[in-house]
Amino acid sequence: MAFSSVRIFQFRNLDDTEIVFTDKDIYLIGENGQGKTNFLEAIYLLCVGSSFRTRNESLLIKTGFREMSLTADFSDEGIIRKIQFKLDRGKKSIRIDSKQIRDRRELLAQFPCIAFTHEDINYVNGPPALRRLFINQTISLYDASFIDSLKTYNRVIKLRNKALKERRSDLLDIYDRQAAESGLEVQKKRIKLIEEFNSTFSYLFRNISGYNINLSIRYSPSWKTELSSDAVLSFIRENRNRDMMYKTSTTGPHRDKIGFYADGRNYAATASTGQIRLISLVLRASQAAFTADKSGLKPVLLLDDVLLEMDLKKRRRFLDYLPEYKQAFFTFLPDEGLVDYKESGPLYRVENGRISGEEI
Amino acid sequence: MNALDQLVKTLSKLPGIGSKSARRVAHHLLKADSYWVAELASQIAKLQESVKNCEICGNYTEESPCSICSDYSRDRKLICVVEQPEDIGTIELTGDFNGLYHVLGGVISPIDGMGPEELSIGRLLQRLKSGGVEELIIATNPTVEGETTALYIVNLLKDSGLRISQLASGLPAGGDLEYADRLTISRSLKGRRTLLKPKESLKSIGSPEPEKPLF
Ligand SMILES: [Zn+2]
Repeated sequence: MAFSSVRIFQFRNLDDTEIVFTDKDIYLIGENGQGKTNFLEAIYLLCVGSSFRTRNESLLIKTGFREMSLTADFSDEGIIRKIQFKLDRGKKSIRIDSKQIRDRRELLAQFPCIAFTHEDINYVNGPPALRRLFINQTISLYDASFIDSLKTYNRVIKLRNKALKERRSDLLDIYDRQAAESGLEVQKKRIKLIEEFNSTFSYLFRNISGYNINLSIRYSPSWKTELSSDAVLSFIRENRNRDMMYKTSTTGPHRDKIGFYADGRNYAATASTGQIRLISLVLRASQAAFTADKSGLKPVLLLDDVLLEMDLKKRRRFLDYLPEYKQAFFTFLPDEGLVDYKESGPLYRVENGRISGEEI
Repeated sequence: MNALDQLVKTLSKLPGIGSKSARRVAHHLLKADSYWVAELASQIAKLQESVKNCEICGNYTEESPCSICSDYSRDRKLICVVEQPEDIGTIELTGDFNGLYHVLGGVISPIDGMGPEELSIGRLLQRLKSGGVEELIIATNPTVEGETTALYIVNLLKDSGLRISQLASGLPAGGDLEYADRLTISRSLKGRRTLLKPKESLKSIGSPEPEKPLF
């Protein structure tokens, strides 16, 4: 079990409260819009330090207030420790055992957290940028230095685009080199990740879906050169005139394409809504399994109403194939037949921002 | 708005001073010894007039050339290129560098309207042309822009015969020289990586090792 209690203070629409957990599997029941997802977000914030729903952190503070905090007790090999996430007048602080952490890696080293939500289908049929985001996120869950490479590359591209607009060839000579160097780091890590990730993903998709197809992620990098910085550099140089014309960098990892292919064809392009939902769930399940494997840490799982989307057979298989986890939080609608999952023990009702525990 | 509020507002524009600390400072000044407050005010008023940039290196100084440029006991074959005058103080504190400095006055960043023309790169080239310098240490911050600036200078000087090195990346990525502790800078001064070797010294090795490509 990860969390044994969570204290909520002026967070979103939730009432100030302290909730005690005694189980590994936590069930939250409520109608939509009552605060179930807000609660999952609270757990995510405590694990990851940022939201899976918004970048605008002021939204996390209850309307009319200037600060919020979440404080949780968690057990670390039998020792009870404390973790706190706090926003005060736009300033964020995260503390573990009342010591402020400076690097998010310290937080991620406690337990990785994977959230399954309806919005995940956008990773499958949304714009290509979202698929790159999913891949980036998966790499950074176990390799924090990837975030640095990506930030560097994005900054270089921003500067290079400005230099393209101003037609500064002297500066482009430098930016081309910086883009080749940092972009290649990003590309190499994506290639390696996708290669490794695919074995988990294909396996889980086959077993959870019950379809006899070999679905895998196909990576088509924008730089189709050999993986040497010289080759990439000359490729970028060859494209400079075109880049000048478009006033933007038209090649590079920010233009990489990622798709879902089976037997050589783009599976996601013709898949049904149900199949797309299933792919998105398997993506997250694979991410959880992969991260657990890479980091050696059992994850915390958050499943926001997603089980509802599967028929009973798939749902069973899905739960069976989840990796070993520290704790899982499931949300359900009131009429969803919770008995399929749980016969006894505590469950939590979420109603108009109020969370209350009860026994089945 | 009264004088106190006005001062609070002015003070809160200082780096690292929020409105809370600005208010505390303002109240402190109000209660403090009036002679001391007048002294402080006159020191602030005189600051920009008396302190200027050294005509040679760009360091802050009251007398130009500055004390470093006019100190003939320092190693004049060595120039350390920094972004801002305050970086000189940080490196001087380590006690590990005995050469001269050159302040660029920023980094290349077209997004912020900073091209190479806006920096004192031209004056650096003039200094090098006038002779005597054998080695350049580029100590721009380990940011994308700091790196761009370093590479730009190396590119300009690739046929100069100068040895050019860069502070090793002991500095935290995205870090600022100003905030890096002394030990880190001292270490990276010692472990600086060579970007460009003088051609003569390459020849003198006999079978020259291939120059390590930048990328
Ligand atoms: Zn000087």
